[in-house]
Amino acid sequence: MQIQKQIKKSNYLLKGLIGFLSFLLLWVLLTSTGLVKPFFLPSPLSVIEATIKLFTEFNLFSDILVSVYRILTGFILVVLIAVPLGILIGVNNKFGEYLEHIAIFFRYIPPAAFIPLSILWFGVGEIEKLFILFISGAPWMFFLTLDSVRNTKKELIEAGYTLGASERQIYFKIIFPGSLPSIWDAMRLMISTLWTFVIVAELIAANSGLGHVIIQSQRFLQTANVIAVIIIIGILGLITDYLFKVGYKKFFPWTERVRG
Amino acid sequence: MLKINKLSKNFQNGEKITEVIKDISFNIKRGNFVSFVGQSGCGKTTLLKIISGLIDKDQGEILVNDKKIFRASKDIGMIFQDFSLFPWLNVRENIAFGLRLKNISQEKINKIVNHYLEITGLKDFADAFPNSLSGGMKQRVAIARTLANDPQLILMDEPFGSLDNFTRSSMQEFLTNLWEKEHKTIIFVTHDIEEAIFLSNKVYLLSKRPTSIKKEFDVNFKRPRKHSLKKTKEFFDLRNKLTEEFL
Ligand SMILES: Nc1ncnc2c1ncn2[C@@H]1O[C@H](COP(=O)(O)OP(=O)(O)OP(=O)(O)O)[C@@H](O)[C@H]1O
Ligand SMILES: [Mg+2]
Repeated sequence: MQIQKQIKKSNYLLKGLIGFLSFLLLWVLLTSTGLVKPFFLPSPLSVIEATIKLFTEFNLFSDILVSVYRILTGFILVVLIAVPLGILIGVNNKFGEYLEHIAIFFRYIPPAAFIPLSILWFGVGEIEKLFILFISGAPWMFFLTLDSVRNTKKELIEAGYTLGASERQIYFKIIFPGSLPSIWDAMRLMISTLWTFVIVAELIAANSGLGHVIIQSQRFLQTANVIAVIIIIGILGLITDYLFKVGYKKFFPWTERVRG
Repeated sequence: MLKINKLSKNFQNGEKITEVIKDISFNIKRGNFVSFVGQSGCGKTTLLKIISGLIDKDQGEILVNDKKIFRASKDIGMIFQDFSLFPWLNVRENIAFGLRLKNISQEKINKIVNHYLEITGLKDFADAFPNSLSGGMKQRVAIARTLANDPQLILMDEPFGSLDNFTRSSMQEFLTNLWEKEHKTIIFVTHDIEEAIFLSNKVYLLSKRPTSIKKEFDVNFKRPRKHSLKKTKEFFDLRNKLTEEFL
């Protein structure tokens, strides 16, 4: 069992590595043979050069911080509002239906469609970004929380009652702790959505942030910069996901799942 | 201590009405161990859930110490077919769950929990989460969790149904020992006649749905009971007699 797990794990890493390496190989082949012009796809080497230059001369680090900051504030806002609402409506159906319909309505509208409106209302500052992130994250987070609360096993609730729990204690001592792992998973999904939409929002209108760097580079025809930033976004995404995975193992060692 | 009078229950799903329990009456004295044996789907779980107060009855009367019950409470403990442990709590915290709901000092909680960890043989696993326990251990945690709450009546819904034969036998012996020590009032539900005879002072046979009591048998084998009892002729005869009635 233990050995099996280890094999699986090393397999997992190996597969990931092979995936990346073959991707890189293809890239090298395409660029070094001159099959694709450097203007459309610069070589890996020039992308590395561009990355270094972005960090040293154009202070890319501050743009990273700006984007990360936007995601974090958006994330916190979404979690603070959508999670309690999801829990509340998950345990108490009475006023649930109104909100559920509103949330479904918003869930089916692409958040990007709100960007022009948001600019009109809030300008191109931080509030506009926060609004976009909230619109793109909150409905999903709400539904995923609702689901995990509703999926609490009936038997656990019944066990709680026969052990003398009041309704309030059922919420706080059974439904809430029992839903936390899937809420955590939902956050993990949601933050990847936020990554997408912070970049979209910055591409459309911003004075800073990674999306802004991409659009500026495109204006000046610096394809290598564009690719450099895209790769950095990917890496930041990987790190975010990894942190969530580590957090899951740390906070929920009691769950049955072996690998997430 | 428990009086049940003309209890009936139907389930309604849209147009369709399922009669599950029809006119069940029985009395159980304090400190007794009785079993109900019935086929799968006859309404055993429904009966226990009604007694515990988890679901409503349609007709009839249930009195616990001459008082009607209105909703589930700690006075009537229930042990479920699928263990129903709280997976996010370790063994110790699971056992303490009911005690923590009330204003009991930590010191006293620890004392009670330690006592039940001891008698269920779970001391070495106090800090383990349920997902790392075997089925038999899980069920012992569930039993300890209910006992720690000191209920007046304990309902057990096929608690050993999902265990393998060996674990099942040892759990039966464990439960007998426990009962012989503490003399709790227990209603045990199973579809295994042998298990019912081995454990109880009285066995009720339930009919098919809508279920009612078909027959009752006193079981007078002396205690303490050991597993060898199952190999005696008297046991064998009684088992055959009940099986015949059942078919
Ligand atoms: N909430 C419900 N709504 C409708 N029908 C139900 C409900 N709960 C149980 N039933 C029906 O009542 C009957 C008895 O169910 P119950 O679970 O009490 O049987 P059981 O004897 O415990 O069965 P098993 O041995 O399989 O555990 C079944 O036919 C079941 O389908
Ligand atoms: Mg059942």
